[in-house]
Amino acid sequence: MAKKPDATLNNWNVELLRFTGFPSPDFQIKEPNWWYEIVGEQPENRIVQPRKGLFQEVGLFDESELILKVEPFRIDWVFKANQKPEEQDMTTLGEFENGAMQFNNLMTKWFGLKDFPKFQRIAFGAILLHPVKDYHQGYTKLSVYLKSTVAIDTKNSSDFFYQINRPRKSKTNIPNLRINRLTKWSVKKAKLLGIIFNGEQNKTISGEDSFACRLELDINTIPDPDMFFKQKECNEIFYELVNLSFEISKKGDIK
Amino acid sequence: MINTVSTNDYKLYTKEPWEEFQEENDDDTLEQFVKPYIRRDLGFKELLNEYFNYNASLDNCYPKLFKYLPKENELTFYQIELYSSTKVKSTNIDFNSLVLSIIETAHDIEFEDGVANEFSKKLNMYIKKYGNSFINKLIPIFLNETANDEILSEALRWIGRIDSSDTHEKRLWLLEHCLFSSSPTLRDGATLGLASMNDPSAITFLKEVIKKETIKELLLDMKDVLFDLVKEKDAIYSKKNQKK
Repeated sequence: MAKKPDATLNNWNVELLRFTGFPSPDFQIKEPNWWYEIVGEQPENRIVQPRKGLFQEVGLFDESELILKVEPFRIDWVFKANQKPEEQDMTTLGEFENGAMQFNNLMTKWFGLKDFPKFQRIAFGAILLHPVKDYHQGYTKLSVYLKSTVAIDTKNSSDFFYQINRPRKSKTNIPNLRINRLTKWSVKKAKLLGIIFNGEQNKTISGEDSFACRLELDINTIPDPDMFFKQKECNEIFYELVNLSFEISKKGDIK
Repeated sequence: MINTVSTNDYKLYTKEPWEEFQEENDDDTLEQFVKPYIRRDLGFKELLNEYFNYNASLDNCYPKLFKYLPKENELTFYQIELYSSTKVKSTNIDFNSLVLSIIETAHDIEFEDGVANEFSKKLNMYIKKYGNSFINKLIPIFLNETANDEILSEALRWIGRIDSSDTHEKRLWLLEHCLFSSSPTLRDGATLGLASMNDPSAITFLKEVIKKETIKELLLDMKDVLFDLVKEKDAIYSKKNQKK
């Protein structure tokens, strides 16, 4: 059953959400039917590359793009905004809380499937954006989130990038489970570049610059070759990973 | 669906697949289109990498275009491996070619048990240099058994011997995965690799394959390795208790 997040978030929008799982070495499923089983209809595209052991399905879910990528050593679900050509601004899934709940519901359905694999490690990834006017405003906002660790000279700085991992002990009942909380903080500048292919008269059209604070989250279990997670554990752990990301997006870089 | 990619600095959308663009445009047009962006280092290289990763396999990929891309600085590659990260790491390094070159090397060698050779030295060097990203490229070869079984088995033996703590878990995963191979030669190589690695984490999977193994000699080898790993596990456990 999907759980409601327990933090109020501060206007972050979400560009991309990701579940990554590293399956147990005895994982053998090659062309699963998961995309269909959780969405309820067939994907738009399917790529199968047997020599690489790659299986990928892509389609729209609620007007956003949902991608399933299966390789022998990792499985990824990616949920991201579907770029529309007429949109000049950075395209997102909307508010982080809503996007994460939507994604959590999808993953909860997947956790409940009969052929759900056993994992040695799982992760929740997210790229969050908060639109700002320019670099200065972006750095000012970031300095609030990073106030306990980094002092940013907002007027005389550029190319700021802060990355840190703050591991924690898991609050689930799984013994010895620890979690990486890897975050990357920066201010992003985006420009929409349109390219019209027309034989000899190829043309490019540039949009205006747009800026946003960018927070990239990679919250994952610390690998332990003796640890395996089945359905129930994945459900509990994933809920914790998502909630840890909520905490960081609200409170910033905290221990 | 519109083909779209974005990087930190640029978004690119195309209304047709890149393949059609390449068919309709010659090298001069491509050069004219791509070079100015790369020279100005506006992140276009990363943009194209993202596009290719998303839309096509590297095998089909566009050598015409890639020849214009600056080569990744190999010396900086290892620095960007973050072990707390689960994100897919993108790179310009052509791992497929490296893997093929190792397999090529092996074809002319007569393997002797435990004796290092050109093949094992190359394998050792690339795994130490490129880490888990390189091993990820090796895995499908074992999965599909696309190279000669003897060569793959030899590789597994050496993969277990490599002294590299950074890649330990990935190598362990590969060896355990190959215990379930349909090829007895690979199962044998994996068993010997795990014996060299001496990591008791493999006990669970060894027990599982021992239940199903039908080849007598291989079964005996597996049981010997299992015995040694259980002994190792007991030794580690005793040391921990002594410290307490």
